[in-house]
Amino acid sequence: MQEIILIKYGEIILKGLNRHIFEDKLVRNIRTAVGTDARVYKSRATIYAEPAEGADVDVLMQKILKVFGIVYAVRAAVCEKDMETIGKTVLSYLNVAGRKTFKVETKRADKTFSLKSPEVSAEIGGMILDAYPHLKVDVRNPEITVNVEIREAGAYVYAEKQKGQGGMPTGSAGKVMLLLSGGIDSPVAGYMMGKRGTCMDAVHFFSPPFTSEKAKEKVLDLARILAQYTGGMRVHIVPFTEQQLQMKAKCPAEHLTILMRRMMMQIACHIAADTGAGAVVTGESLGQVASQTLEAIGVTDACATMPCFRPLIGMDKEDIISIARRIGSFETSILPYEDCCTIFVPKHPTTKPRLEKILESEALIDTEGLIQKALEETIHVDV
Amino acid sequence: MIYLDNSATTRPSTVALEAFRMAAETEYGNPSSVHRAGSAAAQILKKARGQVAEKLHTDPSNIIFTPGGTMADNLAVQGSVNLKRGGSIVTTAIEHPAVKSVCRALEQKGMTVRYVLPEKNGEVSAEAVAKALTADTVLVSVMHVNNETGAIQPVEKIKKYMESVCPGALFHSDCVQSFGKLPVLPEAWGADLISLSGHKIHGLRGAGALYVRKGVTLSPLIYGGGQERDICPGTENLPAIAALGAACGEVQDTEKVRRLSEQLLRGILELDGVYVNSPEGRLPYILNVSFGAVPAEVVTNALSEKGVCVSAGSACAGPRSEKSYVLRSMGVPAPDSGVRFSLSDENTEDEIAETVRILHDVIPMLQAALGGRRN
Repeated sequence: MQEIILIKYGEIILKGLNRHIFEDKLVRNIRTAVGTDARVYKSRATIYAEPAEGADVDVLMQKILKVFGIVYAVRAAVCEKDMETIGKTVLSYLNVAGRKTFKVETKRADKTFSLKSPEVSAEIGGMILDAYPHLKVDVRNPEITVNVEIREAGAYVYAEKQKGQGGMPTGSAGKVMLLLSGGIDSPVAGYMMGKRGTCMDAVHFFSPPFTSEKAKEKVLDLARILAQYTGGMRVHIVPFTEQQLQMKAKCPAEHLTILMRRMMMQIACHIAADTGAGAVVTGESLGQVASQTLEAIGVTDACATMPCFRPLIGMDKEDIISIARRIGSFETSILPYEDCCTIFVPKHPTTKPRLEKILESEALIDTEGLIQKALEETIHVDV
Repeated sequence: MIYLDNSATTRPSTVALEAFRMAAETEYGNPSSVHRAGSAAAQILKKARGQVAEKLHTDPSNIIFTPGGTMADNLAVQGSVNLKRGGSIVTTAIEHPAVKSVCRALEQKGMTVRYVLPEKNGEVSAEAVAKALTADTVLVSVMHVNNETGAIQPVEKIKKYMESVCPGALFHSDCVQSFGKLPVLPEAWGADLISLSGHKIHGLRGAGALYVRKGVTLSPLIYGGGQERDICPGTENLPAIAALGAACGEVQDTEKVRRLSEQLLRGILELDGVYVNSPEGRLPYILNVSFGAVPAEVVTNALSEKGVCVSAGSACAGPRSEKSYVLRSMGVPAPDSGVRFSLSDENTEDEIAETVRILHDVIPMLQAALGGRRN
């Protein structure tokens, strides 16, 4: 039985004259996701993925369903466009025998086909009833919907539609720079931005020996999970020990968190500008920790040289966790290695910092020099 | 690289590797088969059993091979209690997870377990164990040498106390860290069950053993084809078992380790803010030290960067809250700071001198960086 994957996309249909640009992006992204495992092409508002010989269609479906811009995908059997063959294919390919009720829905894109859609449905329904007399037709609430699509190239038979990620094709909305820590939130923030069509790089700050090699590996694993959706990613790993030690030695303890956030923001903006990204993205959610109060975010953003997006700002931890579980980053995020945000945390951090005070503290260290040093020592890993 | 994590695992010795290779490559038959290849393999198994028995000063028929120390401990503890008959288990708060977690699980299934706390120095007194005994005690499990601190426990005294209070109870000792380094003498101690492992004494992973005193019956944890008296069935991992046997034949240079260990301790004590978590009479192979409140993970990362491999507490600990239960139960002020240096006789004076030099380089910097850190 020859199988094919039919891919339907939604929102990008609305995009008027730019539509073909978005569609072409989507096709390219699907090609990147499946590699040589399928031949991918577009025809009449449907994208087709023909599995290569020996390719695992389940794995193929999983990869395709992670691509942004897809509303749903179906795994279908392909057959000749004659009623007897279509009927046989329905009976052998789909598990109708194990159900009690069904209906048949037909789409006829090939208008030259001799029967009209309702006639096809009726005839296939009749064949199913002949084969399995225990079944009943229920058009309102069937246990299984048998779908038949008649197109130029052949007929397609399928039952289940699998929901895709939705959103916009990666790369259709420019590039952003994600601050990736190793916690639960930042991969979810990256996912949310990716869903709106951005491609992205990530910045990670690490502080050996206060953070371990394993913590760094964990962040790269998270980047790999995210890259399944966003189609590849470069991680900029910034050594941040010297910077934190200087702050700790010279600045008031209660300002350390906010000073660290500001320096991270400045470094991220530099790397973003150098790599053609138009915004910085963080996983902050309002009020979650001391550095995520309205005041702290204001003081942090005061040093940003480009927009900073915080897609999780209005979300509860529970909501964030449920997305993390769905996209498959949660189990990696909760591995118990310290990240550099936790080790220098003061006991009583300022929750309502004032910019003048923070600027005074910042003046106690060579901020410009430390930023330059960090940029020079940054290493790049493609995942 | 300077390898000071020998309590986690050791480098296989040449003799062990030769035995392993021979059993894997030449004598690959199944010891249970009756043909020539099988009987050659059975000879290897017999020889290894003899080598382990000799080291324990006992008869080969008392030795059961297991897939490792954890299985030996599980078999000893789970296999010797009967949930229907119930009763109590007496053990210590500082056992390896292979004993401790089994006791926890048995507790949930209705057994009573009493965990005897160590003294401040990490040693458990035989008298404290004696006080925890009751007439319904069915099993006493006390490790010989603690894997995190090197504290040596008075295992030779415990059976005597048991005889007056609970004469029918079994005495098990986890000797994974002491076997090959101290005399392990089940018969002299009156022990019923003794666990040991090959890869801690320059053998290979995949083979351990359980000494089972004649007359003691254990129920198996898994069922199979009758191997190892049906207590630990499954086709024997002959190469690893051969390596364990060969490793038993080698004598550890404990005197050398003692010298190296003292050299290391002297060097460490020159630093400020050091707290030695190991007791004075520790096994010289293990030295556990806190460097002020610097988290052990930070010290291990810093040393790892410089090519020195040590552990934070033990390599076998699980999540953070469980990590330092040994030091916690001793009442150590900053239990997350315990760094374990574990030596073997393959280490050299130069390596120890280099380690001390690196510590003098790294520790003051870390202490200064984290000064005033409170959690």
